[in-house]
Amino acid sequence: MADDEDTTGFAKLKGSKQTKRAPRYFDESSVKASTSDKHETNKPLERKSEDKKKKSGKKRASAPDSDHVDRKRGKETWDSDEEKDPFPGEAPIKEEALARYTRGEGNKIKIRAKTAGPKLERKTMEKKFHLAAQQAARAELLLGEDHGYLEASDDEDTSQLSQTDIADAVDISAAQKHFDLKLDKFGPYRMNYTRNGRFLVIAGRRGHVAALDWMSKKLLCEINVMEGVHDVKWLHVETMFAVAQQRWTYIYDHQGVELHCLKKFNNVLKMEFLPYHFLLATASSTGFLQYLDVSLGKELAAFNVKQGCLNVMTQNPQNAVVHLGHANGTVTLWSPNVKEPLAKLLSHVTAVRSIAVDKTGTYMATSGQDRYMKVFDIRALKPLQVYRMSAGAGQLAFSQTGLVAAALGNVVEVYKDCCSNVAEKPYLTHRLRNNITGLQFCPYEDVLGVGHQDGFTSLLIPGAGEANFDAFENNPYQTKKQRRDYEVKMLLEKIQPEMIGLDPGGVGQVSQLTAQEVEKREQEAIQKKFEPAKKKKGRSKSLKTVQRTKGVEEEWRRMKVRQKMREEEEKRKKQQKDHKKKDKWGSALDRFQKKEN
Amino acid sequence: MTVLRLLNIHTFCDIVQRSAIMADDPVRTLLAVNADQADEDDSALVLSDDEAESDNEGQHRNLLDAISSLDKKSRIKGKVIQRSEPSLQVSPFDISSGDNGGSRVHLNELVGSLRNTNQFSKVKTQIRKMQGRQKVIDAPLVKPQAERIERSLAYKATKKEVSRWTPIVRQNRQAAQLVFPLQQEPVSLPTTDSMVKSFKPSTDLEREIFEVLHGSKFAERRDHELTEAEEEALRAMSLDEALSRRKELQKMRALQSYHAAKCAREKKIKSKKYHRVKKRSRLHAEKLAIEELHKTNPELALEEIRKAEKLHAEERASLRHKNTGKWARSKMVMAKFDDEARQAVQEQLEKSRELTNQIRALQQDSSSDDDQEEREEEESEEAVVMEMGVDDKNPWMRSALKINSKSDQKDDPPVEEKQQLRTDEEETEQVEEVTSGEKDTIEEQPQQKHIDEKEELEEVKVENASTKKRRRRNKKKKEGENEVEEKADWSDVLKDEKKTGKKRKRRRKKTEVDAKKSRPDGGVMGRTTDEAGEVQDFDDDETMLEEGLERRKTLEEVEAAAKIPDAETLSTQQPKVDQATNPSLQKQREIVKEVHINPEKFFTIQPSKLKSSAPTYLDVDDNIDMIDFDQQRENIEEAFANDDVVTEFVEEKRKAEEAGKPKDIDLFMPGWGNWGGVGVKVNRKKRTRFIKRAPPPKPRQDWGLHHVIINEDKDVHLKTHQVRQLPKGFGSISEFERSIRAPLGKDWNTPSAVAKLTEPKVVTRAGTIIEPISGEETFKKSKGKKMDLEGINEEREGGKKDRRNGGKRNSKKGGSE
Repeated sequence: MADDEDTTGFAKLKGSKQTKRAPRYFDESSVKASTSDKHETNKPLERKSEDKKKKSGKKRASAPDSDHVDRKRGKETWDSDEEKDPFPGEAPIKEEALARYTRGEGNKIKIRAKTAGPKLERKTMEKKFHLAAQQAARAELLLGEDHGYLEASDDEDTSQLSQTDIADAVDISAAQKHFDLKLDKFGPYRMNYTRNGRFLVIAGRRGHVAALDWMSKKLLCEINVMEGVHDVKWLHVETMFAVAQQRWTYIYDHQGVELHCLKKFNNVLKMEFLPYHFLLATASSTGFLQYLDVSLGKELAAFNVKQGCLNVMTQNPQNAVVHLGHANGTVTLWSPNVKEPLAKLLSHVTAVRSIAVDKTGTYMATSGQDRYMKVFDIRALKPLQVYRMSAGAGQLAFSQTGLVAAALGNVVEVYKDCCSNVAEKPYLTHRLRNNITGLQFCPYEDVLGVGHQDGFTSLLIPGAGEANFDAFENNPYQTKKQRRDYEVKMLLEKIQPEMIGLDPGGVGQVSQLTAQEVEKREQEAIQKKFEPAKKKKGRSKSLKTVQRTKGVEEEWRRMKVRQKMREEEEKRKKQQKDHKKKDKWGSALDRFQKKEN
Repeated sequence: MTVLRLLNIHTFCDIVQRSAIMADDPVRTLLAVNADQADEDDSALVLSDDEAESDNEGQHRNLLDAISSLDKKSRIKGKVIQRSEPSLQVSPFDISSGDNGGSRVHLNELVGSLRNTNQFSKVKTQIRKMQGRQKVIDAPLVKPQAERIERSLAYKATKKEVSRWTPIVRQNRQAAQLVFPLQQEPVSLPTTDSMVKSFKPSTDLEREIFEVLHGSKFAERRDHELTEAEEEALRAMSLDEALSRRKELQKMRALQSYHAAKCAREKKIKSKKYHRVKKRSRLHAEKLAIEELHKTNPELALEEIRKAEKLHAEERASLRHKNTGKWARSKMVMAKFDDEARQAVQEQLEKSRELTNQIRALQQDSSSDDDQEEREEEESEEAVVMEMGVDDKNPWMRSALKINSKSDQKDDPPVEEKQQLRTDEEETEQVEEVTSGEKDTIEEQPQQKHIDEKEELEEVKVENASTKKRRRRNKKKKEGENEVEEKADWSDVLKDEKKTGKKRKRRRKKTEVDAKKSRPDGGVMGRTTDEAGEVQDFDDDETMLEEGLERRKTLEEVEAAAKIPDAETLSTQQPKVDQATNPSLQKQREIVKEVHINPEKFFTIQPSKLKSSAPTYLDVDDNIDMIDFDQQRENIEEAFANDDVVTEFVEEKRKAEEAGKPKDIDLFMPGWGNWGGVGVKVNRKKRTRFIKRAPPPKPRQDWGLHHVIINEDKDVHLKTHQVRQLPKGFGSISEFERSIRAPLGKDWNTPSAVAKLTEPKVVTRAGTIIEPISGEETFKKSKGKKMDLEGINEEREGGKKDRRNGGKRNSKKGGSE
């Protein structure tokens, strides 16, 4: 391995990835790491023994008596047992790690009363929150895996490395993840990975749909729907996927059996699946944005976006807001609860070609016809970076670690650290024969899937995937039973679509009345009318009821006036009192002032 | 008790007998008879009292005989003896009731004569004793009163009893968790420490070793470095040293107290001047120190500078020394007449100036190159000051001075300076009119094309009504009560100024044009119209004016501010639209200026070029047409980058803002209280009276973000999941929201944290009986119990209080033990 590297003069491939299936790009480095670890672990021991020596030396110096020396030697062994902990107390926590798990500023509760029931409870809770954050920060220790990366030597550039170079350098299992599916007959391909990154579904423009376990290359199903296909998406599990076909949207199972035909969802060009809400969002060429609740099989909402054909769509994984890109350079943000866009953002002066949002919901990258790629802080809706590219990127994708992939015609470029800092050159580039139509990073893998005219290509992008997966959230090694359990659990924990909004913490807020609502209430209070009760023995005749109503309403009015007067009187009195007070302790010279009346 | 009483009676009888013998009074005799009868009843007792009768036994016996014979006679003869004692109620039993109408017989009367005799000493002492001992039992209290006292006593006792429970109850209430049954055996595994502590040597060998280890002087001690013996030796050796050290300490203490006394004395000094001088010297020293620090330790110096910057920012944010306060205003009034007041006001202003200037001063040190020119300028300024002999401290003269200095050195100011000059333009023009009369004489030369251009532009400007208005307001502000008449048409004023402005003005325009030319224009929306540019220039002028002395620290910033960013067509066009239609926006703009934020800045990010590789389509034969077309379209679209998009967006945003504003409600009804019909004019005043004014609109979320429209409508659906009212016990909404900010579930927390976060308040063990808490066990003096309670105590939160309670409880226990 090391020889290889010397002869070829490659850039070093560093870092190692998680567990069994992760591509261990460079064995040597891991060996190095382990040896260095050993060194580190040895060090404290050495230091300890040195300390001991020092101590004993000191003693000897202070009491140069042979008897003493002997005794002390005997004592030394005793000492080593009794030696104080060199690192007393709890292990320190990194500030950044703690900040990562601290959820905002807490309440500062002061307790004065002896019997402070609820306040005391809340204070206890605050302490517990802090404790939980600390523990979570400490538990980061368990996330042992680090995502790898490419490092160039001085005269080289990582972007010069080809896929074959990388595949040659990595171990076999990782190298197998770089492959090419030649499917040139069914024309440009769209593709989608499941949330755990295990399965892949590809759909050619000309009707070819195939689902496969891409790692083992085991085919789940392969069908031709005999119709144009615009987009394909997995639903919550790998047993179902939705295909946007020429006319309607269909749902197939993993064996290729048609489960549903959604005639309401016609002429769909792009789809997004919101896994926590079980919603399938579709954007159609007729300009409609529709939501389908997959768990209920009902259409949740349908909006006419009034921007013409909708062919640019993505979702914000953090708050499940759907982003649509339009021909007039705007990006609109949608939730199924509001008929108007939650926000509208002018990002380009020409049509928007692609949008991507990173998994933390912090950054949004947009590309336009004007050959710009812009990165926005989507929380503040402010632009962070503007890049001038050689062509307008037709596809954009964020990886779990924040790499950005852009498809410029037939070139895939991956940029590293281009959101918070200014990137100057791509991290990796790959040139394909044909125009790229689908782009997605595979979750938990250092793999970028590219759908194009000639089929599908899987590219190795070191450092793209999240190295530590949460098996309760997304388990790439899920068994069938686990999958079933997981499905039930997901359904039980389904988030209601009403909670979708720009601020995902909106549920935790107290709903406050708007000014209009307050006004409305006041109006209602004013317009409240007296309804006379029915009385018997001829006393409920119309004249009587009218008289009674009038009387009561008159009385109400009087009451109001009286109350108002009372209030005014009180106010006046208070003012007077204040005034008097002021007068009382006014200037000493006031006594010379001319008295009124 | 009864025995005693009987004894008394007996002695009493005895005395009566004797006195009767002496007095020979019939009444007394009778009494004696009665007493004797009683005597007979209590014969046993009489016998016991033989001592008293020892001396005159014979007499006594005679008496008894006589009495008995009397008795026999009367009974036998049935002779009724006439009762002669004065009594109101005559007893049927020949006995007086004793209560004979106030004429009580007192002891004194009976035995008063004893006082004069020397005999009967025994009786005398007895009587004396009896008198001293005499204690009368109080009459029993009335029932309700007695009961009340009883109740209060009972209450106290019960309270004491019950209050023993309060700390326990409080603990249980406040405990984070209660595990029932509460009394549990504490399970603890023996630790090595406890084993060591409780170790007692049992065998001989052990004992010996133990003694060696613990008993001797030379034994090592765990928490000391030296053994006892060693320490002793050391102590013996360093006596002198210890003495000297002690001396030193004493000296230090004395010095300290001297210093404290000095400080206290100084603190008492009331002289303001003294303090002022002192403060000044202190500040000077500080400044020097910072300078020194700058040389030696730049990092620390930087920190100092940062501190100064903060102070500076605070000063800028506050009105503290801006003479806006009550005191300052009163002083201002007085300033005309009172030198001192004037000085005070000046001092304030000086201070604020100093604070706001501070950073520049500091930075001059650091970046000497940049500010070289500035320094020169200042020097020249000082020269002018000297010439003119004006008080340099006078804040009102300052600006004038600056302007003068600038106009004086107008020969060839550095290029960077031009922008700055431009900012002062409006101020200066007016002052120039006053100061430099000679300039007025110079005629306008035909040479300046620039001016002509400018004039045209300015006319365009004038056409914009709202801008004009604003400008006039500004002008007013600047000029105060100066010579420009309010009615004068602005354009006229402008022209006048142009004539008077002359060379200086020309130069300004030149710079403006230069600036425009030099402006990098490679932006997306590069086609800035002249008009727009002009408006922008104008804006720049204003912002710069507003921001006064310290806004721009470096020349780069000044330039940056003057620059029109490429994306600014948007921002430049917008204000025009807004100002015409929307006064509130104008207001907003003014607010912006106050906070010194330029909203345009948010939309100006210079595009950075990515070294991306261009797509190639060489290999493709089939799609070449399509791709070519694509490429073409891209190129065309880029070439004609759609300006309409921006204007459209601006218009849309304006509409959204308009729609979001609360509207006035017109409640006017034609013909109501007036004549109605066609052609009848309604009084405007009357009309406006019926218009209900809407409250001022809330600031929009997207305010300041020109490229964003945020929907202000509340999400109605979300409300179903939200809390409607602030839950009880929370002071504010934010407090509540913060209290539920952290997730509790296991997806976000470690298992132990989840357990802790969700632990129930009460835990019961299945199958165990929960008995009511019993006093016996709770207050039992058992250690295990105590520990248990302390365990609860530890769990509880609440610091001080806890300790207090714990202390109480412990002390109580200690007392009982």
